[in-house]
Amino acid sequence: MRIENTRYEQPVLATRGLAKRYGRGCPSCYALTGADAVSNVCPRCRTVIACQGVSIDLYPKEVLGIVGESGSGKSTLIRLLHFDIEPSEGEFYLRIEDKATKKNIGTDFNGRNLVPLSPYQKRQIRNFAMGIVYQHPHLGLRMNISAGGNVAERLLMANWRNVADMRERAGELLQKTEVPVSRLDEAPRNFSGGMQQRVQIAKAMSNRPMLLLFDEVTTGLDVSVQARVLDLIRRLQKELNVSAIVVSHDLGVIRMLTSRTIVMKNGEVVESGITDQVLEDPQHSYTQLLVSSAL
Amino acid sequence: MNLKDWKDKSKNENAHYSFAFIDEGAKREIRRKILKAIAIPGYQVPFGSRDMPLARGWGTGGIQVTLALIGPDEILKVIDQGADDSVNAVNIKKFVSKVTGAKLTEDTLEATLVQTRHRIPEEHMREGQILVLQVPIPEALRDVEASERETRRMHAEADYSAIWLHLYENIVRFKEITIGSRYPVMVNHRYIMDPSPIPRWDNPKLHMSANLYLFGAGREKRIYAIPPYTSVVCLEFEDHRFRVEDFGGAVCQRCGSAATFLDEMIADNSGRRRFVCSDTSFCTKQVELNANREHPLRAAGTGD
Amino acid sequence: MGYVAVKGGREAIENAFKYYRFLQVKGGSAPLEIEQIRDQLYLAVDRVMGEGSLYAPDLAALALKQSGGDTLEAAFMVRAYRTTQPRLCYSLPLETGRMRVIRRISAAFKDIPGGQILGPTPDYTLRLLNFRLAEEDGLAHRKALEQLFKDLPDVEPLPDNFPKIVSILRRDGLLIERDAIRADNDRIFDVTRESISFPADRSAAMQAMAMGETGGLLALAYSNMRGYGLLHPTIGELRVGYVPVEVKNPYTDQPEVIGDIKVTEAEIIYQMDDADGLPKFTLGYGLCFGHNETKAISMAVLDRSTQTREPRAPSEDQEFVLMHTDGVESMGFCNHFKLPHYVTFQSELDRLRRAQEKYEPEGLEG
Repeated sequence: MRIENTRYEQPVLATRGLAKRYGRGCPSCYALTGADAVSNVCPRCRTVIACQGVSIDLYPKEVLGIVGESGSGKSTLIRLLHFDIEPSEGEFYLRIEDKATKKNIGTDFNGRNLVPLSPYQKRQIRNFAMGIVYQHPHLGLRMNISAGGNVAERLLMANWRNVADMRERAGELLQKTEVPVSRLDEAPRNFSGGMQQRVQIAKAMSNRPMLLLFDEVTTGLDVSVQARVLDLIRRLQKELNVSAIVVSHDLGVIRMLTSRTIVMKNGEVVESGITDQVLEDPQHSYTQLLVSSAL
Repeated sequence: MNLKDWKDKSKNENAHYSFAFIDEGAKREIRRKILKAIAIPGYQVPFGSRDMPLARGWGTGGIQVTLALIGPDEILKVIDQGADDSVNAVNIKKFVSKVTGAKLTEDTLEATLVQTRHRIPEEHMREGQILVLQVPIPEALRDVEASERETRRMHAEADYSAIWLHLYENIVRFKEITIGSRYPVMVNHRYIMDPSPIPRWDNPKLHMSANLYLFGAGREKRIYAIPPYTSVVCLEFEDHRFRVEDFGGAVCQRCGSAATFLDEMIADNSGRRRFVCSDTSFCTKQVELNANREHPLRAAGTGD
Repeated sequence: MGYVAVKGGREAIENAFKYYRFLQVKGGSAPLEIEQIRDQLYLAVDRVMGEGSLYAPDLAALALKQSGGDTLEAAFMVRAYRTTQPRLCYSLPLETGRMRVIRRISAAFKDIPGGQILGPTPDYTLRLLNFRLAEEDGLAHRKALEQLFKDLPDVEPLPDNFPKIVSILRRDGLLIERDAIRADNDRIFDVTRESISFPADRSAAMQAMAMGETGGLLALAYSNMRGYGLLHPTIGELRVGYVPVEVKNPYTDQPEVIGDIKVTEAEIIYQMDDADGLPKFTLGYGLCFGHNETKAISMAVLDRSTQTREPRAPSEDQEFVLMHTDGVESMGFCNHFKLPHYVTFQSELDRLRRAQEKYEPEGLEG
C-alpha cells in the first residue's frame, strides 16, 4: 500500500486529550481505568471511562484505522467525532476547505476547538464536512423513506432545491455503490443487509464531504458481502481522495482499507503507526495479543 | 366566598371581570411574549395560556393575544373562514366587545385589529394594522415528528431535513406536493413556520407585508409573529414550485370576482356546485362597487 | 383489625355502603327524581346509555342517581342489568339517512343541501358560570318554556331527509369505496357473545368503540390529532337525531319498526390515499347512543387511524385502542388493585430481602 508522505502536511482532523465519562466521576477514575487496568469501569465510583486522553491526527486523503475489541472506546471515539455525543474533556479540530458553495464553514471554524460550539454550529459542520456509515443501517438511514430520499436528505441539507437534479445524483450514487437504480423509490427496509450498507455509503458520499467515518460497517454481514462492501469503500476512497477513519475489530478490514492504524484498549490508545508495521511488528503487548489471535 | 356572596355580586355583572377579562399579570406576560416573538420572527414562544370561557381549539390563543393588546379605542374585526357572521366570529366579537367596549366593524380597512380563523383578508392591510391568527397546531414539523421535545431541538439546530424529505417523498409518490393548507414557510431565512390553516392562496400575503402578523395557539401554548417587511418564503423546489389553489375558472356568483379565494358549496342533491367569495366583507364591497359602476349616475370617484 | 379479618369483615362492608349512602343524604336536600336526572342531566344519561350499551334512559338515570354521579359506576350498573335481559334478535342495519335530524352540520363545506342545522348545542356559548341557575324556583321551567315559544317566527319545517354529504363525495369519485356490509346477521361479530381476537373484524371494532368510555376514546383520538398519527381530519358530516329501529318479522319476513333511538353519527374525511390507484379521500366513521359528539368524533378518528397500513402510534394500533377503551373493564381493573394483594406482596418482600442480602458493593482498591 502506497504510503502518503503525510508528515509534512497539516492534519485535516486532530484531537487532543479527548475523553468521555458516563457516571459521577471521582479523582481516581482515570488512574484506575485504561490500558493497564482491568477494564474501563472505575472500581471506586463505577463510572465508565469510555475513552481517555485520545490524541490522534488524520492527514489529507489518508485512511486511518482504529482497532480494538469491545470496550476499547473506538465506537465512542467515532461518535464524538461525528458530534453524536459530547466529550467530557478534550479538544477537537478540523481543517475544512471551503469549496465553491455559499458556506463559510472553514473560515468560521478552522483553528478553533469545536467542542464548545452550539448544537446549531456542530450540525452545520456535520452537514457540510462529514459523512458517516454505521454498523446498523437503521442508525444511518430512515427506513420509511425511499433509498433515493435517503440520499437526497444530505443534498437537501446542502441546499439542493431541484428534485430532478437530486434524483439524478442519487441515481448516480446508487449506481456507483452497485444498488440497482430501479430501487431508487423503494424504502431500504426491504433491502438485504449488504444493500442497506451500500445505500448508507451512497448517502454518506452524496454531498462530497471531506471526511468519511466508517463504524464497523461490515460486521454482521456475510463474508462474501463484506468483501464487496470493502472493495467498494476502497475504490471510492481512492476515486474521491477523501480522508477517512475506519473503525473495526477485524484486522482484515484494517489491513485492507487503512494506511495508518491506532490500537485502543479500555479507552486508551496503546499503539499507533503505519498499518503494515503495526500488524507485522506490533510493539505493545496488547497489539501482539490481537495480531496473534487473529484467525 | 360562598354561593350566597356570589349571588349578591352577580347583581352587578361587571363587578366580576377586569378590563378585557384576563388579569393584568396575564396581559403583561402575553405582551412580553409577543415582543419576544416579534424579535425572533417565526420562532414559537411558549406562554402560560389561561383558561378562557371559549373551549380550547376554538380560538383561545387568538383571543388572549387580542385581549392583551386591545384598548378601548380599538376597532375590532373578527372573521372565521373569511366570514364576519360565522358563529365562531360572532361569538368572539360579542365576548371581546362585552369585556372591553371596543367598537366592532366588518370593514378590513377600518379595523385596527383583526382576529381571524384560517384566512387572511383579501384587501391589503396597512402599516399599523395587526392581524391576529388563531392557530390549532403551531408546529410546522408536527407532520414529520410527533414529539414536541424533538421538534424544539430541530428548530434550535435548524435541522429541517425531515420536512424537506417529506416534500420530496410527496413528489416521488404523487408527482405533486400534496400539502393543502398549513403550508410551511421559511421566515427570515431562519425558522420554518406554520402559517396556521390558511389556504395556500393566502401564503404569499405574508411576505414583505406592511402589517404585523401575530399567531396565537392557546391549547398548545405558543405565540409567534411575522413583523412587517419580513421575508417569508414557501418551501418549494425549482422544478416543483409552490402553487396556490386552482378554481378551474370559477368566479364568485355574487360579485363576479375571479381573483379571490372561493368557497365551494354543494348547491343541491345532484352535487352541483356554487362558488362565492370566502371573504364576505370584500365580496359585499365588490357588489356595491359593481352596482355603482353600472348605475348611469355614477358617484364621483368610484371609477375603477 | 384490618379489612380482611374474618370477624367484623362483613359488618365493615355493610357499614361502608351505609356511609356511602349517608354522604348522599346528609345534606338534607330533596331526593332527586329520576325524571329530573333524565331531563336535566340528559347528556350524562346519554353517556351512560352509550357506555352501558343499553338504550334505556330511565335506567341510566336511576344508575346515575344511585352512583352519586359517577358515570363509570353508572355504566357498570347498566351493563350488569343488561346481562339479565334475554337477547331476542338483531335489528336490521340502521339507515341514518332516514334520521329525524335535530342537529346536522358539515365542516367540509360552507353550505350543503338541506343546510347547516345547528340544533341544540352549547358549542357557540361562552362558558361563563350563570349564577341565575342557582336561584330557580319550581315554576322556572314552565316560565322558561313559555319564553321559548313566545313570538316564534314562522319557520319552514325541516325536510324529512337530509342527503349524506359522504354519498355525494363518493358519487363524484372523491372518496374511497367501502365494501357494503350485507344485512346478513351471520357475518356480524357480536362482542358481547365472543371475545375479540386481532386483527379484529370491523364490526367487532365498531361495537367495541360504540360502547367504549368517552374519556378513553377521546384521549387516544386526541393523541392522533396532535401528531401521534394522522392529523388533518375534516368533519364531513355530524348528525344527531332519532333513527327508527327495525327488525324482521319472523313470520312475514317484513321489516317492522319497533321504536326509535337517539344517536350521534360522525363521518370524518381524511387526507388522500392511493390504495385504489387513483388518489382519494379516506373516511372514518363513528356512531353511539344518545347525544355524545365528543365520543362519535373520537370514534371516527380511531376508526380511521386503526386502519392505517403502517401503524406507528398507539392510536393506530387496533389492539391497543380496543383493549384499553372499555370503561367498565378499565375502571374495574384499575380499582381492583385495592383488593387485598398481601399474598403476592409477601412474595415480593421475600425476593427483595434476598436481593438485599446478596448485594455487595464492589471491593475497594487500596
